[in-house]
Amino acid sequence: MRRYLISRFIQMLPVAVVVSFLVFSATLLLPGDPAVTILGEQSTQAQRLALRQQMGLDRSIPEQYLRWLGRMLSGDFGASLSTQEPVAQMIRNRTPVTVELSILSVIFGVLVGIPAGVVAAVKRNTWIDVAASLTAMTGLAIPYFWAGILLIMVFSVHLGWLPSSGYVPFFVDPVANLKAMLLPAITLGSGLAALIMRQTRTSMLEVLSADYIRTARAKGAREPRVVLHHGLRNALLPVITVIGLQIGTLLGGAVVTETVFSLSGLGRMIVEGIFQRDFPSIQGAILVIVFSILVVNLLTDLSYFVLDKRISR
Amino acid sequence: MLAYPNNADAVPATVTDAEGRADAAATPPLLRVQDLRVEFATDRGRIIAVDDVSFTLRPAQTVGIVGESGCGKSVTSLAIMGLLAAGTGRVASGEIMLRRRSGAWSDLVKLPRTQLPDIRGDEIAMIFQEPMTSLNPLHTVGDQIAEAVFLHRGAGRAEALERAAEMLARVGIPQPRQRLGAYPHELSGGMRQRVMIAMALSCEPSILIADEPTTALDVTIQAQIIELFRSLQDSSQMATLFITHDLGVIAEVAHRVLVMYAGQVVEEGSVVEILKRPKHPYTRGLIASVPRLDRPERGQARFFTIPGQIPEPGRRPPACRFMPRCAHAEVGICDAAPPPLEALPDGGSIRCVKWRSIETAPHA
Repeated sequence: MRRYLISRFIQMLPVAVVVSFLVFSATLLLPGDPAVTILGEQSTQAQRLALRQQMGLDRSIPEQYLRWLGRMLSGDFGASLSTQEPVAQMIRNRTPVTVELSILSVIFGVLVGIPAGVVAAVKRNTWIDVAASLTAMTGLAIPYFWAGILLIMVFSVHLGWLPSSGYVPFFVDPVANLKAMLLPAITLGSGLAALIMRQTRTSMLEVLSADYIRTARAKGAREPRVVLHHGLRNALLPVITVIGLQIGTLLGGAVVTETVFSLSGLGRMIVEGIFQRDFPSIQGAILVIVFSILVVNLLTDLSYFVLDKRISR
Repeated sequence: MLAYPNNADAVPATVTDAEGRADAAATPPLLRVQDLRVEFATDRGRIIAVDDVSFTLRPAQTVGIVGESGCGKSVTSLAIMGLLAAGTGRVASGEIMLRRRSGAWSDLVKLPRTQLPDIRGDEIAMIFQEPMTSLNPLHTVGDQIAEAVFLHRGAGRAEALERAAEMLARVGIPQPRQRLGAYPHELSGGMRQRVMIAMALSCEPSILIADEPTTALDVTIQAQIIELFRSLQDSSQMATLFITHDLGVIAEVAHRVLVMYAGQVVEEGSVVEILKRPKHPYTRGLIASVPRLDRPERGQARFFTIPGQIPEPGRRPPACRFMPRCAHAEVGICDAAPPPLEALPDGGSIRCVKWRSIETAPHA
């Protein structure tokens, strides 16, 4: 277990280097000149040149990268080009929103997807199975922005039950916070729920034909116990893999969802940064997201040890 | 003539008429299977997997069912357990009468499906062929044994685990208390099969169904498991239905034997009659097929094999199902009508219209 952990950390290092270089260079490839953004269209060529020199934009790309990496590692993410606000502070303010949105979406996906998958597997080839699978297909096919807009129209505009925007920190007012986060979480979690449902159904079907399920029935366990106590835990391993792998997609969806619901999270920070050519804030937000994905993947792998004792030996 | 090599001495010396493993016919039966017929729904229509199977099982008695793969022996046992794959397999006719602990009789075919879990693992327990995959990989063996006790005795966790440790000791697992926390992957195949047996016996069932319990094990481990079965037989009144294709195993454990072929019983009798004086050409072929290292003699092949293959359920010959493979088959007699199961004076039965003339024919 410890050896595995150490080797996993060593494996993460080259990934981290490659990813950080990609994040750094992606902003170089974006069209547009940050000097123009800062100084405005009316600035002179000399002013722009001076600013570029000051920012180090005239140096070679490897040199820019190393200097940038050094600053990142020391926790200095720079300041936003448009608001002068330190990027580290922006990340601190916005990360809780995205983290809460992701966690609530995963909870929604798990609470809906796993029971639906289990029921579809147990009642396979019945109308219940067909209905669940069709709903899942729909959930997968609907784009986030459209699902978000539909939910706002129904629950905010027509029914007036839930707000369409406005974030309240959880520790300030938990009820208002959850009310504001419910529609975004459903928007972002519905695709995940569909994927979880399909994976649960598939692995549950496989598990239910296993010999040890027959053993469980032979010793007198009734069907609910056979399915939940003996089947589900065995069926969950591939489901957890899917959830772990989907965290990346989920954070991508967070960009859209936060924009639709005007939540100031990391996703919206990226969108705003792109529109304003605000390189430091784009880089900071993307780095945080990418490293969260690496950490989540590590946690996913570690969860196998807890769930399946065979792996730890 | 082409007859079967006389292989009667392939039967271990343990099987003797004097040993007293003859049928305890006086005791009332525990299980009476009558005219059992099991059908499977397949893409190509309905298939009769088991046809017209009848037998009784008495306390402390072991009935062996032998036959090649696909003869219907496992299907018979799953039908008794009510574990035929839901939606595809079903008992089409016949009855499976079980004498309950209360003394009342229940027909397991007619019993509501919701009542079957009360019987499974409590009154009838079953162990399977594949010990490597028959245990849940994510639960400790202690919990898996204790579960049966918990389900049927309502015991608390500590009490159920205590019983599990007791059972592990009884099936010969050393340091049973420490093994309670072991996961199946930490145990060898033989140990896992012992765990399966411990689980099956934990509620002291009146009937144990063992479906090829030694087939997947190494020969030395097989012998240990067979020894365990014999000691369990001696120490309890439990009846056992022992399913195997291995005549050597049958010789070791069974009192009575059912020989099945293509979904039917072709011969039934005491283990001594079946192994020493087989009457049906198929039984004679099976016994002749037991490999003999000691007898590659007089130009005889070391291995005798029955020619041909067991027919698929949809392509069984209309009359005698063994006819295409039978050395004694006679056109006009054997293909005239399905042979009935004929009762024999010694209590056995046989499904062959020519058995009398075959019996008088000399062996090889």
